[in-house]
Amino acid sequence: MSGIPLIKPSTGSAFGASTTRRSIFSHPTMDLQGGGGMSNGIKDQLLDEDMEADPIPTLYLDPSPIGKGVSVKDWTAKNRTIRSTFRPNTNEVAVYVAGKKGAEEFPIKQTVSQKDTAVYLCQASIAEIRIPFITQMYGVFLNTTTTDPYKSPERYTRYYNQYYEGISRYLLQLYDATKKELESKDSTYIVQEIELMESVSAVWQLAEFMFLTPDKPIAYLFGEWLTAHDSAPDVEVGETLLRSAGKLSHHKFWPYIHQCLLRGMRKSVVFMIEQALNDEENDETADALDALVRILRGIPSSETTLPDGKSKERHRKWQEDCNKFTRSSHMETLGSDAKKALGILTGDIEEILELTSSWEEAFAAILLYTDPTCSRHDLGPILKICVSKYLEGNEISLLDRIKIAIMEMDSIKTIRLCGTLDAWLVAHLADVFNQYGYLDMSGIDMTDIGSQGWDLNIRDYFIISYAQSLMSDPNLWEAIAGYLLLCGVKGRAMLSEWICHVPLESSRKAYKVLRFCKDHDLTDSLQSIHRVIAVEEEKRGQYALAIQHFMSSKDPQRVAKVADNLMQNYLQSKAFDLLDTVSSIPAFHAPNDHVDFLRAYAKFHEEYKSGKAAKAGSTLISILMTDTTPKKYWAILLFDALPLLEHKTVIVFDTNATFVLMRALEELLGSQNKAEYLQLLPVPSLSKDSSTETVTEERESYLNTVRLSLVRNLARSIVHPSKPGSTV
Amino acid sequence: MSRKEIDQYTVPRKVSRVRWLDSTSFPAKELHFITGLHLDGKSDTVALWRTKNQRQYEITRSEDIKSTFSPTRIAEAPHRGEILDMRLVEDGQDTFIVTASSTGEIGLYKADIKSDAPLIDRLAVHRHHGFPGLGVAEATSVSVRPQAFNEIASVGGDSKLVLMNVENIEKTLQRSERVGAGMSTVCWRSSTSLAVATKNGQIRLYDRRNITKPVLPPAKDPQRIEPLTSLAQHPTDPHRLVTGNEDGCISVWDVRNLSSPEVRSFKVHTSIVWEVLFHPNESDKVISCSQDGTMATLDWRQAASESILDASKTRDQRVATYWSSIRSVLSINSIDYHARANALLAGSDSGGILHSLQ
Repeated sequence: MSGIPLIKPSTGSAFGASTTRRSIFSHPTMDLQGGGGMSNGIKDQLLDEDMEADPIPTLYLDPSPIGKGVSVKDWTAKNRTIRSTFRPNTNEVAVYVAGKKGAEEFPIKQTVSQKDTAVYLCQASIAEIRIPFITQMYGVFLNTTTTDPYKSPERYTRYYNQYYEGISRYLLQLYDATKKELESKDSTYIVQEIELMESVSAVWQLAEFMFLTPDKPIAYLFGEWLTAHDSAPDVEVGETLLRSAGKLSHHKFWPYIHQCLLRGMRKSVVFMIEQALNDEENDETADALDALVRILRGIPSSETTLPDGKSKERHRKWQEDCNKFTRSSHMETLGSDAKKALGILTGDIEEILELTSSWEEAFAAILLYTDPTCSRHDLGPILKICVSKYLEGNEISLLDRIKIAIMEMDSIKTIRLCGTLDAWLVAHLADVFNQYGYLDMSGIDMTDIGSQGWDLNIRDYFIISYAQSLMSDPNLWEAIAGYLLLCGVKGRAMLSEWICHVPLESSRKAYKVLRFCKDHDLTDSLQSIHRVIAVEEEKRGQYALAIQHFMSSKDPQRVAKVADNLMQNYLQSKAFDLLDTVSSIPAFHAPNDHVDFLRAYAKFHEEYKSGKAAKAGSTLISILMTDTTPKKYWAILLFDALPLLEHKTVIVFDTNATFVLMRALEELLGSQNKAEYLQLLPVPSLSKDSSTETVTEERESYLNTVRLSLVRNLARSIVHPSKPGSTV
Repeated sequence: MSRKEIDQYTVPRKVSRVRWLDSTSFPAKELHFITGLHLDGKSDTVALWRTKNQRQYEITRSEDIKSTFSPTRIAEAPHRGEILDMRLVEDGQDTFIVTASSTGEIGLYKADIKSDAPLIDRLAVHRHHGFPGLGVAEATSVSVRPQAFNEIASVGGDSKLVLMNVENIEKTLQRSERVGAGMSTVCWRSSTSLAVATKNGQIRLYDRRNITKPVLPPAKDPQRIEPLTSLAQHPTDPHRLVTGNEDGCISVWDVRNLSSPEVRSFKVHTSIVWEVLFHPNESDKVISCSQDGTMATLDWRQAASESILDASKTRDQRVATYWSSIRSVLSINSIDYHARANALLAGSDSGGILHSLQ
């Protein structure tokens, strides 16, 4: 996305990633009203003044599409406006300059500037407090998605449990943060985040109980879920009752008992009735309470439900006992409130609906007292009763719709609705559902959901969307890359493109990104990133490093260019150790003529410097005779041969070697490309304005010196036809 | 591979460096440590933390034992750029923090842990690494001269070794020639000699009196050319060094004969080794942390005696013990060991400060 300017949110912007309930981008398009709320092109406010009262952050386009000194009125008069499109699953908006009317409707001919073609991308930033949750959950995802729940169930469960633990831990962190952030600007965000994460937590656990825990009766699991996410009855009420003297006559006694019964809290209700019994002085009432306690001990629970296939029969008998109690004299002794309690126990749906306060509570109670071993696939009738009573005629919230979809065991609908609630939730739930085989799309009518842009792999679609929603934060690059990598061909293709644009702020991060590409065979991306780093290193004069990176990016032309620069730099300054520099270029890379030349040339210099004239001469000749040595370096080699040719005591080059040098000299000077071949030779005496011909002539004059020396050496080698290196 | 689970405390930032403070008199109920915290786009910080010395609680069987690691951040100071390396100087009275920054700067901070209101003060910051006219080069590593504690050595993206005085870090004492291969990390071998690891797998030794050029040609492992990413000196043997490599190998070097050094390499990690150190109490062991999200303890002498020497392509589980956190799969950037409390400390990209008693 390089080259596309970003919208910079104004300071104090408080919106968070996918968690923002009221997105700033709630309108699919925005149209500017001429002049309204706009300053003279310094800060071009996008949102109109009506929105100022709303706690919605203001965004500014930077750089502005309106030129400096141009008023908004003038700008809009030239048939210009701002439009945007919103991508809901990543909370991302693209803003661009558009025509207010069609060009054919506008009387004046339009001229289009570069500013008119800019596309501004903006994505809601991710709150700092959520980042550890994101990175830690990525770790859990990596472990779970690569483990088969059927082949390694224990290991899978250990990993999978980390999801719910992670959500709970994050919620605790948020609760803690509310205490600290009460006065700060982040408090609104944290309150919203808590509300969201509580919903996520409820959905996650309910989905787990319905879809992934088939061995345990749902009646008890649903009760457990309800207690975890909607704590009632009030513990303080229970404590007050325990402290009171006349419990049975306390106005909160029976409502508390009803609440406990509706939630299936057998132990609590038995304990409370036993306490009332201990206090009771009236024998008749005490007898009635004693009988009630015996009934209550039989309330269905996971402890009383044994896997012996006789649970239904036991429940039927217990209900008969409840009905007998209703018809007994005890009922009259205990009064109407006790009758209501027995109504709950006998599974009197009307009584339960009368006493409950939510459809979930009603569902839990009806299920527990009418059919505690009911199969997950037979919950429909009870669900319908509860939903009709509490939700019919009202607008059903998204959260309720998700819960109902889960209770209906409609995995596709659950995922579809979760997609609107939270990007993290839907991605990870889709992954888990997929592993358990709940996302089989065969037989599903795609006409309804096709419009949402899903392809056949829902899991990949939502994980990719989640990864995209994180892309606004460069800190999360590794998690983003990891998610995309595990999303098939589509995710990998996206990763391959995106990872090339991860900012490399430090060498450590560059290492990490390169290593990621290398480990996961992202060859094209690897080469592209190496190229980017190589260009930077070249700019800084780090030629050896630049050559290494260009070699890794498989760019031999750039390697040659940098090698030339390195050579020129060395010839001009001699400020660094060429052998040391060149030897730092690993030899394992693909061979490159220019680098091979540099290595050999550095070796020649080292030998010459250490006084090994004969060895140096031999190295120089072998370089010249190597076919791959670029011709433009020949002139340098010939020039470097000069001190060896003029060696006072030793004939470094024998006749054959001298002929090699002479042939090279003539080939250079006789070539049509003479100017190019001689360009590396120094020209200290000429000004910058000298013509190419003059420069070439000057350089050629240097080589004439070499020619004279060669002739002299030829004569010496003929007179003393010994081996190279022999003393004259 | 068996991994031991390690305690984790989470912060909403990447933990770039961790260092124990050692000045606390022992036995102590509390320990202190310093972290470098980083988040792209936000200002970095140097933070001072206090934690219970859990071993001490185990010994005294105090009622207030906390099973989980839950340190308290007691002081913090802003830091310009990402902290790429950090060293502490403790002289008994004061604790000084030396940092190497991605901005090319070397920073000197003072941590006051003894007062009722602990704080970290920035004393001086100076840019020592850069390309004249071409911008900054990051400072990748710092090391403080042992015993005298009066000089700091740093290396950076400009491929130069720089010496400066602790008392006046603005003043460069000496600067080496640029090394074509690029320098990655530095450590003092003794109060007169320095070792530098390079990005092409070499070790270069410098004499403090003149650091322009290395004293001898560089030492290299003929089998390996991968970049060296971390380096540490043996606590007692001046010729023994340990390096961590880009490919997850740990190499123990004997540099007595620099032209043909004895190098033992072990494939301990599956990815870049970000920090490595000799165990302060058992120098036959090397502790390391890696991009692969694990920490490891390698008994290199035993591994060498059992001829488990080859740095094969797969991680050799026989030679090392591993630690990791199920909640932290991202890179572990830094590691430190408290010699007296026998406690391991690490920092990760997942925002985890990891802690384990050994």
